[in-house]
Amino acid sequence: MDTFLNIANNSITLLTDLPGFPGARHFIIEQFGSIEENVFARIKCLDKIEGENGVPLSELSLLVISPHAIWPDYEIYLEASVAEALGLKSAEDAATLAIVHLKKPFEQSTVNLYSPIIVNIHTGLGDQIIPQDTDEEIKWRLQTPFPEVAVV
Amino acid sequence: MLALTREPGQKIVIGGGISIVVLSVSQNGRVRLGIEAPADVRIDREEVIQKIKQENMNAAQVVTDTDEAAEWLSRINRNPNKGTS
Repeated sequence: MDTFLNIANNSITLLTDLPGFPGARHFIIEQFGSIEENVFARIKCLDKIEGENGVPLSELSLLVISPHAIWPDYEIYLEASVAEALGLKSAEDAATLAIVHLKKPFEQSTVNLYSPIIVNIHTGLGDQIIPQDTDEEIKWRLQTPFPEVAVV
Repeated sequence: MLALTREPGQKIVIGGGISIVVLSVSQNGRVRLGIEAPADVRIDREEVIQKIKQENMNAAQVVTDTDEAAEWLSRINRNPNKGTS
């Protein structure tokens, strides 16, 4: 696999632990499945972390996609303090990774467009955005369904 | 837990750098707070963090049939806003 969203070294370091997974900060970006794609990828956690009830997780990985590829008008507001903490000078410095919640059947899968992971592509520094606006003001939902799959 | 009674306009100062003021209390029990804190202090609504946590944990469930999922994802219409003219 080439690079997903041109993130340096295909590696991500989060500013804070991934919500829900205390200790999860370092991730590598890997190809998801055998189909080469630049739109979706797997991010695999490199840290030793504990899941719920203190049970160690053998592997934490998440499927992520580039939301712009599927929702061209997608945009997310970044607090100035977050942009600063990530060292972002312009939108071109940032990659947006939306976490996919894969379900069976696949048609029921959803994407978290509400709180994406934003990554500085030059440094790999990232953070999962926690929106400050009230939910009524936010267009992009926590469980956004995919558009229909094209008929082949 | 420390419990303090405050009236609208009164403040609480935490650690010298953070202050919280009660702005208003409505008839239906809603309390509006104003918070002043340094820019690097995150202020989040607890229920928002909770639902993001939960969604992350649900999304992290192990996917076994990765190839099948990747194949399905690759078929998703990439530009739903285009070609509808």
